[in-house]
Amino acid sequence: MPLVETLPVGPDTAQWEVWGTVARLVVTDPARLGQASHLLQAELSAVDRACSRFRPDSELREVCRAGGRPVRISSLLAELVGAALGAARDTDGAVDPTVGGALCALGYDRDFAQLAGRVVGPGVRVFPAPDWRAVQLRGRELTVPHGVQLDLGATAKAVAADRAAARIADRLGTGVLVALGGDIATAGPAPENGWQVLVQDRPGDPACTIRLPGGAALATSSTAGRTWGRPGELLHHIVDPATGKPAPTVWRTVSVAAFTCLRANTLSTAAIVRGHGAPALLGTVPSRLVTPGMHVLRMGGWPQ
Amino acid sequence: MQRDIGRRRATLVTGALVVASVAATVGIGAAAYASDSSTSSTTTTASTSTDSSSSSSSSSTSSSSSSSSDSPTISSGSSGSGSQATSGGS
Repeated sequence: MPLVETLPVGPDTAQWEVWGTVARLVVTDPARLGQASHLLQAELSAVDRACSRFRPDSELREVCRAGGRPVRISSLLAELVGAALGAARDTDGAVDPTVGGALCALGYDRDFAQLAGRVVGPGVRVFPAPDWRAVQLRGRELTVPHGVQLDLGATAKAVAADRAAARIADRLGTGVLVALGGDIATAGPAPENGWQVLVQDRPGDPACTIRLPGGAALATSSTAGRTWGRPGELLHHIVDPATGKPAPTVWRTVSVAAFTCLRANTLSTAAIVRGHGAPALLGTVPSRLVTPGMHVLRMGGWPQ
Repeated sequence: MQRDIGRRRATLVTGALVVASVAATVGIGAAAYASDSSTSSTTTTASTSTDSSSSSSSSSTSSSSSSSSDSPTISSGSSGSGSQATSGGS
C-alpha cells in the first residue's frame, strides 16, 4: 500500500489521489489555494501524458514502440528523460530508467491501484536491465533501443514536484509545499516555523517531525510501500538494475533532504539499491535510514 | 617535344588530383569534427539543462559519496504546531 496520509486538510491545503498515491498541496497564502491546485493538476497531467508507463498514448510509450529509431519529443519529456539519465550517471547506474521491462516481468505492468489483490504466479520471469547508456538523448531527439522499456517512476515524480512548486511560487507569489507521496518540494517563503514534515513510512513505523527551510526538498524511498506478489514472496518496486529483481531489503525506508526533490529521490532510491553501501553513498547528506527491524540510523546532521 | 608536353600535362593532372584529394580529406575531417562537436554540444546542452533545472543535483551527486555542502540544514520539528505533510514510502 502506498503512502497513507492521515494529516488534516485545512484551509491552506488541498489533497487528492494521483498515480496510486496522494498529492498534497500546502500554500502560505490560502487565498491562492485554488489557483495553485489548478497549476499542480496541470503539471501532473502534462507529466503523465509525457511519460506514463501505463498509458498507451503517452509520448514515452510511443518512443519505446519506435523500434530503435530516433523520435523527436517534447521539451517536457526531454527534461524528464534527461533527469532520469542524469540520475543513472550520478549513481553509476543504481537508479536506471531502463528497468521498465524488468518491472513488467515482475507483474508491475499497470497502475499500482490495479495491482491490489493481484497474485503473481511462481513462474515470474526477471530480466537484467539493459544499460542506461544505450539510451540516446540529443536535444529533443530520443532513441530507445528496440525492446527496451523505460520507467521514469523513480525520478519523474520528483521532477514534477520540483517543477510544480517552482511554478506555483513564481506565478502566485506564495510559499508552497508540494508532496507527491514521499516526494516533497518547497518553493517561495516558508511559514514562520518552517515546513513541518512528518517522516514516517507505514503506520506504526518509527516517526519524527522535521523542519524544512523554504526551498528545501525531502524524499523517502521504501521497500514496504508498494508491494505485491504472493504470500511469502512479496515483491517491491525498487529494482536493482544489476539483477532485474527487487533490491534486497537491507533498508526498509530511506529519507534524504536536499535542495531539489530530484536529488533527494535519486539518493534515497540509490541508497535502497546499494544496500549496505548506502552510508558510503550518502556521505554527509542529511538522511535517515530505517532497518527492517525498525532501527533508525541518522546521518549528515539529521536531527535526533 | 610532344613527349615533354605530355609529361608536363601528366604531372599537372597528377598534382591537381593530389591537391583535390588532400582538400577532400581535410574537408571530410572537418565535417566529421563538426559533426562530433555538434553532437557533443547538443548532448551537453541537454544534460546542462537538466542539471540547471535540478539545481544542486548536478555533478555533486557523486556515486561514491555525497557532500552536505549543497544540502539544506534541517532541524527537529515542533510536533505541537502540527505537520503539513507526510514523507513516507510512496
